[in-house]
Amino acid sequence: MEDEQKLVQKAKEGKEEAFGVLYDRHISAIYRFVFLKVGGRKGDAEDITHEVFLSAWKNIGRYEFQGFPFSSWLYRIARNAIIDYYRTSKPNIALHEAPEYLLVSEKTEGYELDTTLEVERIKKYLTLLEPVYQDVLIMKFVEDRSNKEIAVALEKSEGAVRVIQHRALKQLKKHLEETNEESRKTTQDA
Amino acid sequence: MKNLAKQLKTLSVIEPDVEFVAATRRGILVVPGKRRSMWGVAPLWATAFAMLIVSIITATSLTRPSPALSAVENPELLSQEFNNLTINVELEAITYRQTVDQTIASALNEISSNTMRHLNKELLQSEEERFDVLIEAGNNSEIDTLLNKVIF
Repeated sequence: MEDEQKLVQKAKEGKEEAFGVLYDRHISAIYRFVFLKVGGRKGDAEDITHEVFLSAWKNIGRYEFQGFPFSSWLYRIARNAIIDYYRTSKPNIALHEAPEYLLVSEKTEGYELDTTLEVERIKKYLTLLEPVYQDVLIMKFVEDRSNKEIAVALEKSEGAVRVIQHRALKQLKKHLEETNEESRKTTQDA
Repeated sequence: MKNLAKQLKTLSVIEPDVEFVAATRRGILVVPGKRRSMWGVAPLWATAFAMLIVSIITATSLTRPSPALSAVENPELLSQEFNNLTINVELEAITYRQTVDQTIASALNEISSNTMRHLNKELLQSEEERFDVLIEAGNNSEIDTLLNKVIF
């Protein structure tokens, strides 16, 4: 964290290399967050991610370290960018309809088939949740962020984050169980 | 729930394209960040500089007395100012007295002189007689009638 604070300070002084390091550290997490929030549309996820980092770089002078990781600030910018995205455009592809190749990057190529299917499945049900539930589940379980950091990013209390997390998991479990039940019935009928 | 958490964790395999990451990095860092304000000074330093200027101005105005007070502090200047004031007052008094003296002398001269038209005894007497005639003439009934018309 101390190291990150120094990098932020250097970036605030206008040192591109320092911001470059911060970019390298957080690009994947922010991209993942955006990608899952925009229903897996790769092009939109890239555009929004670009906007997030451009905005962060342009406004780095305004950032004040308050004891929280730099990523909290980036997540906050990303959330606002996603809200703007949904406000200004009408996405017409549901996440579960997104082609499978969107998920496969160089890193995941050759990844076991069952894992890819699992990713598809969980991704599909994630989009059925309320936006704030998605935020908490992605940050908590995909990115391993602390409740404190999530609370800062979402501008909520830690207690509220815990409650949201509990409800989100419950809702996701319900969707998965309903699907399993439907699959079981279909198999029996067949 | 643990199983759910594990399932969610599988989403961490999602990664952006390497080309996208590199292109965005290049594109963003070309743009200058808004970390500096006026005169290329960081906002914190600009604020500190502004506060220093204000402090200097305030301190200067508090330590430097006004021109009026500076005269009090300098006895010579004060004495000189006072002397000039006395001279000015005296000159004004002299001018006033000269004017008054001339007026009084002129009035006395007029009173003592019989040649003046408005102080001539004969003239005053004839005026007095004329006034009596006018009073008598005031008994004229025509005048009374005309006055009554005007008033009522």
